[in-house]
Order: sequence, then C-alpha cells, then structure tokens
Amino acid sequence: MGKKIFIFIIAAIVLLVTGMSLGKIMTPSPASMEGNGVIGVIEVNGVIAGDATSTLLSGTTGASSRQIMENIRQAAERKDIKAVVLRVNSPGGTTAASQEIAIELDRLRKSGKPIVTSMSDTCASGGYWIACSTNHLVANAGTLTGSIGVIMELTNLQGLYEKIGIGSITFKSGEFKDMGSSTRPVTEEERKLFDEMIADNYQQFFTQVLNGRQGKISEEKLREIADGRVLTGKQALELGLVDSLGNYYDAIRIAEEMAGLPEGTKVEVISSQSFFDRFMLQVKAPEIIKTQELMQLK
Amino acid sequence: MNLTELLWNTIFHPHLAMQKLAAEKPWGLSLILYVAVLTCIMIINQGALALRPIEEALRLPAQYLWLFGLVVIVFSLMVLFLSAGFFSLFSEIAYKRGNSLGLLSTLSFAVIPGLLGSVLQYATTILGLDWLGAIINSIIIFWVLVLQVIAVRASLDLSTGQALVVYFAPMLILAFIMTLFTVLIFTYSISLL
Repeated sequence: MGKKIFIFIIAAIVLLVTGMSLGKIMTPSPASMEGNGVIGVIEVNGVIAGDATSTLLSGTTGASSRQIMENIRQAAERKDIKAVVLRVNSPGGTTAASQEIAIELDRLRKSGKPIVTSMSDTCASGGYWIACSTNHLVANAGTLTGSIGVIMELTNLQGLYEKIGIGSITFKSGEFKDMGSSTRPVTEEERKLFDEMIADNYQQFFTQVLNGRQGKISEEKLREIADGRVLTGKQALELGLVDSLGNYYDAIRIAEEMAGLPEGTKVEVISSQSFFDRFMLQVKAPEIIKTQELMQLK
Repeated sequence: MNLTELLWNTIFHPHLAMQKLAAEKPWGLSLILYVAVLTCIMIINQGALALRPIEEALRLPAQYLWLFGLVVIVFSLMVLFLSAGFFSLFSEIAYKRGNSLGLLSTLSFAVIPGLLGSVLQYATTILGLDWLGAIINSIIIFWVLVLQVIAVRASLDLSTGQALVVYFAPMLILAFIMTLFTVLIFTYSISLL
C-alpha cells in the first residue's frame, strides 16, 4: 500500500511539473510580466507575404503578414510593452501584405507606443514600406534599403510550348480574364492595364513613403529617387530616408529613450510563436500551396 | 510484478527490478514507458529553460523546437534499440549469452531516475539554486549509468566485471575505429604531399 502511495505521489508531482512546463512553453511571454516596462521586438525576416510557406524540415520561411499583425496586436494589448523595435531583414514582398502590416503599425503608433525600425542586411521595397510606418528608422551603413517601386514579371512560354508540343485552350468569360497568361504574348490593351495597375500601386507606395518621411525628404527629391534604385544605409541617411545609423542595440536604446525607459530595459522577442502555433503550422503545412505572387515589391 | 512494484523496485531495489524485467521481458510496456519518460523530461527541461533569462543569440529558432523534440525521441529510440542489440550480440560472442528483448526492457526502465532529476532541476530553477541543480544532475547521470550496468548484468546474467566490459565495449570499439580512421586519413594526407 505504501509503495502505491509513494509511486502515486511521484507520478502526480511529475505530471504537475510537466503540466506547468507545458504551460510555460505554450505561453510565449514569460519574462516580461515583472518590472516597469519591456521593449518588444518584432522580427520581419524574408519575403513578406499573406502567409508564410512552411516545410516539415526547414520550418517556416518568409514573413507572414498575418503572424506579424498578430504580434503587433499583442504588443498593443500588453500593458508592459512600452515600445517596439521592428527588426527588418527583408527584400520586400507583396503590396497587400506590406500594406496591411503598415496599417497595423500605424494603429500601434497611434496608441502612443513608439516604434523603432532596426534594419539588418536588407530593408528594401516592401520592407521599407512597413518601416515608413514607424517613428524612427535605424540602418547600418551597409544596409541595402530603398528600392521604392513596383515590379511585375511575366514570362511568355509560347515558343517553348510549341517546341515541346503543348497546346493550350482557354475558355474565358471576359476579354482580359487570362491577362498575364504564359501561353501567349501580352496584347497592347493588356499592357495598358498592367501599366495602370503598376502606376496605381507605385502611387500608393510613394504616398506611404511621403507620409512616413514627412519633413525629412521633399516630394520632389523623393520623386527623383523613387525609381526603384537600391541605396546603402549611409546614402539613405543623407537623403533622409532613414533617421540614424546604428545597429540593433542602438535601435533598442533609441526605443528606450523614446518610451522614457532606463537603459538596460528588458527586451523580449514577441515574434516567437508558441509551441502550439509552431505545431499547428507544421501540421497544416501541406495545405499551404506555394504560389508565385504576381505582383511584388522587390 | 505489477508496474507500481517495478517502478518502486527500479528506484529502491534495482537488482530485483532488473532481474524481474530481464526474465519477464515486458518490452512493449517498457518502450511506452521509455517514450513517456523522455517526452516528460524534454517538456520539463524546456519549461525550466523558459524560466531562465536566455541570451537571444543562444536561443534555438522557435519553429525548430518541436521538431527538435521529435528528432531527440526518434534518435533516443534508435540508440536504445542499437544498444540492446549490440550488448546482446557482443555478449553472445564473448560470453555465449544473449537477451535482446530483456535488454530492451531493462534499459528502458533504467532512464526513470532521469525524470526525477528533471523534476528536481525544475524545482531548483524556480528556487534560483542553479548550483544545486548541477549537483543533482551529476548524481542522476551517475545513477542512470549504474542502473544501465545493472540492467546489462541482469539481462545477460553476467558478473559486474563482464557487464562493465559489455557496457563500455561500444565506446571502446568506436574510439578504436575513430583512431584508425584518423591514422588512415593522416597517412593518406601525408602521402599526397
């Protein structure tokens, strides 16, 4: 009887500790509940898209706008997070994904929490789009940034298909339903439509930068350099596209100052997914179909 | 002997428990217990890690954690099967005694102290007594090592000396092969000069 009770108590303790540990793992906000304030770090790594692609072995690749928006919301809701550092290492992404992240960042800024962008290797195009929705942009002198422009690439494989004997039959409800098809050249009317689309997207991008960098770069100057060119962090500083040069820790220090926090404030990477999120992402991985985005900011 | 008795004896009377396991060979139950113990150990260790302020640079990328756990379990199971198979084969050759299923059962039960160690380490982390956790960890590693030698001895009906030879044989053979490879590569490299 004594043995049974002993084993039962040990098993109960083991289960209790396992449960506590599981709870700890599944809640990705451990260290920040103490102290006066926390700097939240949100990482944007890779191509920005509506959803990240995921493989069983290599894990998640790319920056999912849904995930990043969730992180921004979390930063907004948590009272202990006083400022946010957006750590960007991205060559760009789709217009809509960048746009929806920027909207969420604007909301966070309006709530009174300062956001500082820390640029890593690259913060170009779509990456720069979202950075324009933050209060202060910090780049390394060698960071690749800028690339303000929109690009759409189409491939005409008609010649190849003919050579290998593949014929395509298209049934469509309207004249332009198959615009961009790889089985034939683009018509003049379609070219006009594509140009209008690109111009519209470009104007949205231009407006975003102009609003984000208000008072730091004139519209004329911006128009001059917003031709898709890539700039170094140093050049971007001279032109007024970034606010200062520095690394990740400099960005954290600036965030501390802007939020009135003391030096050495606790830093928490809030973009880490919980154990359950990670598991579910891997489980649903086969459902996420890799799609070639038609229009990208890159 | 039921599970409660087996667990009790593994902790307090390991010789008796291992003899019983070697004779009855409940390998299915043992494997389930082995996986359960490993899973709990990993979860508790991850929980303990989450209690400590970790340097960002040392963090394992978040998306790899569960995959890492799965790999550890599969790898541990492979090591368990390979160990049981190798110990049995070596003993068969050296002492004409083999018992792979018995070894699978006894070696699985021998990891149980590891679970107690993880729980105690979790407690020391909460209390901020990391030094005590390190001491407990060392004791537990030694305890599991002793239990594994007892497991080999009981499963193969060997003396303690023979059990030690069987237990350390893979390491010695591996060291010999590594040395041989190093010498061969070194000799080949010199011949190329």
